[in-house]
Amino acid sequence: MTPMPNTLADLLAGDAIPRDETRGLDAIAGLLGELDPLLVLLADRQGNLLAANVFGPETALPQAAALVRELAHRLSDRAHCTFRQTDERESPTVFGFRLSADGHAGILGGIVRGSGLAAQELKRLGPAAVACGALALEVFRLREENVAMDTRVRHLQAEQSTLKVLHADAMNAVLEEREQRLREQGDYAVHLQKEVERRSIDLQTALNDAKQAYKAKSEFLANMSHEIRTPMTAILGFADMLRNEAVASGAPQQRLAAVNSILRNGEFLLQLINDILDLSKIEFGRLCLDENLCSPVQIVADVQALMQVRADAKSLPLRVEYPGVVPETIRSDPGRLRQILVNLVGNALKFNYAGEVRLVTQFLHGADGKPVIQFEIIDTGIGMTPEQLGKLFQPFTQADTSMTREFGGSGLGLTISKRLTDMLGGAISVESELGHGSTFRVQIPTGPLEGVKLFTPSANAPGAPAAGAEPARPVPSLGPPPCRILVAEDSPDTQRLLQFLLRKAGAEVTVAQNGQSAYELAVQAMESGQCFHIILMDMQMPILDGYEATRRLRKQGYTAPIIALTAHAMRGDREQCLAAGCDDYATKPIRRDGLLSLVAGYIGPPHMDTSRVPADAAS
Amino acid sequence: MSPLQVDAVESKPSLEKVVAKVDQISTLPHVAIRLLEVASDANAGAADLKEVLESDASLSARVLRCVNSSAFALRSEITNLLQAIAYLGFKQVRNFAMTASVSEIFKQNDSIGPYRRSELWRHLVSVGICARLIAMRRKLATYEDAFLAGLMHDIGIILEDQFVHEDFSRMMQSLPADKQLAETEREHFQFDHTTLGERVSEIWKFPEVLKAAIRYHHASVAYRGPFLPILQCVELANLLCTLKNIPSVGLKLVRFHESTLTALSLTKEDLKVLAADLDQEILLHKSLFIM
Repeated sequence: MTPMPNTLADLLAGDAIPRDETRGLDAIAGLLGELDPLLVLLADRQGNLLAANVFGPETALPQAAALVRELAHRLSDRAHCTFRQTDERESPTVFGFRLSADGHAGILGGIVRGSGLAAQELKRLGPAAVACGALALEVFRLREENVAMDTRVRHLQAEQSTLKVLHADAMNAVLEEREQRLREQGDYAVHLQKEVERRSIDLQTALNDAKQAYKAKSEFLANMSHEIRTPMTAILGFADMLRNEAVASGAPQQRLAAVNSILRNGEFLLQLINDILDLSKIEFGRLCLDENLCSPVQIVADVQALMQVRADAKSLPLRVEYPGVVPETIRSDPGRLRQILVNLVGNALKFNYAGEVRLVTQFLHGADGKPVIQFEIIDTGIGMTPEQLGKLFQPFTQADTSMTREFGGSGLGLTISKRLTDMLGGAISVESELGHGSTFRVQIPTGPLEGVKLFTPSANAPGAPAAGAEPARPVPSLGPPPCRILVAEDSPDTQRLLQFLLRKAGAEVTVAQNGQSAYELAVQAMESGQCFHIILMDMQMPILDGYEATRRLRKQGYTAPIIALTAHAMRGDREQCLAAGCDDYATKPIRRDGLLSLVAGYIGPPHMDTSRVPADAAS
Repeated sequence: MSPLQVDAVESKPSLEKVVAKVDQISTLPHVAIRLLEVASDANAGAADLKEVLESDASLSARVLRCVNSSAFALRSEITNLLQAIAYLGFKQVRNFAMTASVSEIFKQNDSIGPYRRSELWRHLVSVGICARLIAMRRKLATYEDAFLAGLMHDIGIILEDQFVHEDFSRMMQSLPADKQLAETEREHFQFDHTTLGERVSEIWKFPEVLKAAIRYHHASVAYRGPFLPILQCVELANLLCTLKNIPSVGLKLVRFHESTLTALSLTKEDLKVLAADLDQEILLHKSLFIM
């Protein structure tokens, strides 16, 4: 174990340095052992080099001497270099080198080595040796500083590399963390994507389910409507029959009023069913447009003719106005357009007690510059508040639920009108002021108008209000000679109604309970040469349905007319019936006039006494 | 053996008794123990350190003051702990906090003979700074642990002061100048500050590196373990600080093994440079000395 140093200097100097009064030189001498030959240069004040001294340990002396000589050579040709080594036996050891330019006044350099340097010896060496020693000390100090600098540089480099490594580690950690975060984010993004996909699938499934449910609802509604329409046929048909008999036989007014009441309410109920059916068809997407060239003026006239009765009933004038020219024809679905106008005019009449209802038709250019035909239905009725306006066009919404009680109606009219207008590519809008009436405005694109004439129709004056109930109309006749009609119908009520109507019109009626029996009867009649003049074929029958029975008959070469009877008011049903081989098509409920006209149209002029009316008269 | 001698031996405070006492009334601030827990938990992160620091508002303030001291010449002032940890790193901030919390013990300045609590504190912080400096220059990545080890290495002395105060005072009043402190301690107690410190650091669940430094800061040659380089740094730092007149208890006697220098591959030149640079380093970190 080393002795304990008491000061830092002790530690640094180590224990090899002896102490005495000549400490400065002593220290230098002590250090010489660690130094290379030390060169000391002396210069005068002008900077001229006067002397160069070299110190060194004995072993370094030859090297030192060589150095001095070399130096002397460079200084000047005349420069001398002396080199003296004290006698080895002497103590202390003194190395001295003298180098002078003139060889005389040179400065002595010297260094002493060893312990116990005598004072007189120092004195003998003179101040030059001391100065030389001081210089050597200075050089040593500088050297030492240099070494310390080098060491410090090494230390700082080490420190820097430590910090660098740590910094690199830290940076790596940060980068790693960043990458980890990015990875996590990436994972999360993927997760989100998957979640979105999963939810999308869920949503799609839910949507499909909802669509399915909606479709089921609409189908149910449509089917229910058909189911209801069938009994309605019997109710309205027989009521009609009763009324005609009552009128003919001059029955009491009370009974006539009761029958009229049944008819009116029945028709209202039928209208309600038709509305529901229409809406469900629209929502079900089964309602197709039948776009044709049609005359707006004719449509308006139809609507007026239809609504005049109601206007008359409420003693309200229904005015048709044409402020300008209108096209002779437009391309649109006349049936649907008529339906819209009937709805709106019906509403205008319904919510009006005094004043008038105006139907103003104008030819305009719409917001997008395309030609439109605009129908304004202006009433002087109760009007609506802004809140009520906001709720219009929603299914089953009347402006106020309390209105249902007062005004009746399904609340579907406006919704249907709006949907139909949309389907026709048009727009419907409303302006209203509570207590001052409403204006419904329908704009329908006219379609291309090339070559279509514009003209000013004459405005119709409101029809004179008709007093009392509708009079009984003349009954179309189907004979003589008696025409033979086969009725294929499974519902006993409808059988009875048809039999009644047709026999009353003079026809001979044979009834088949189902398609099979109808087929057999028709073939039998054909083979016996007593072919039926016409077959009324219900399409939905047990055993063999109307479609199949018709197909088989046509296959057998049966050519006489077959008219399909169906409760399906759907578009496409007609095509289906015609495709099966039917000549025409009538929808239930069966209306006397429409049916007889239709039948009369097929069995020819000898059997007719009414003008032919369109096949859709039954609807 | 004379009865008198037996009495003398028996009257020496035993390690177990003192340790039991320390266990009962821990004088180390709770926050310091928690800091060391966080420090030795490999899973602990900046948020945990921040949480511990935030439990002591004055501590947080002191840490921020240290961070904002001229030592780091930060371009803009750091105003929160997370920022501080981000700038200076987890361990450095932990060290600031440890220094600040341990300084509490030294607030009452007692002086007994050559011993002054404030001087011991100056010694501990200086050794910490010096050990850190040496570690950095010896390319030890764990240089912040070297600071902590230096800061805590003489915890045994302050424990003696606190828990066997009378015996400690007696010892200090007649401290022989030619003996190692540990030798004198063993004459008065059944332990010295290194063994007492080691036992207590077990109770306080100090990190292993700290325990090793407390036990072996005078004798790294006797240590077998992974923290040898840090121990050597502390040992040399203790020597340098003592020689620079920053001793622990006023004694300038330090036992030092030359092999430590060799192990650290340091020459006398290196020592000179270290001794010179230490002054600057201490000046830079003067905020750490505040009690």
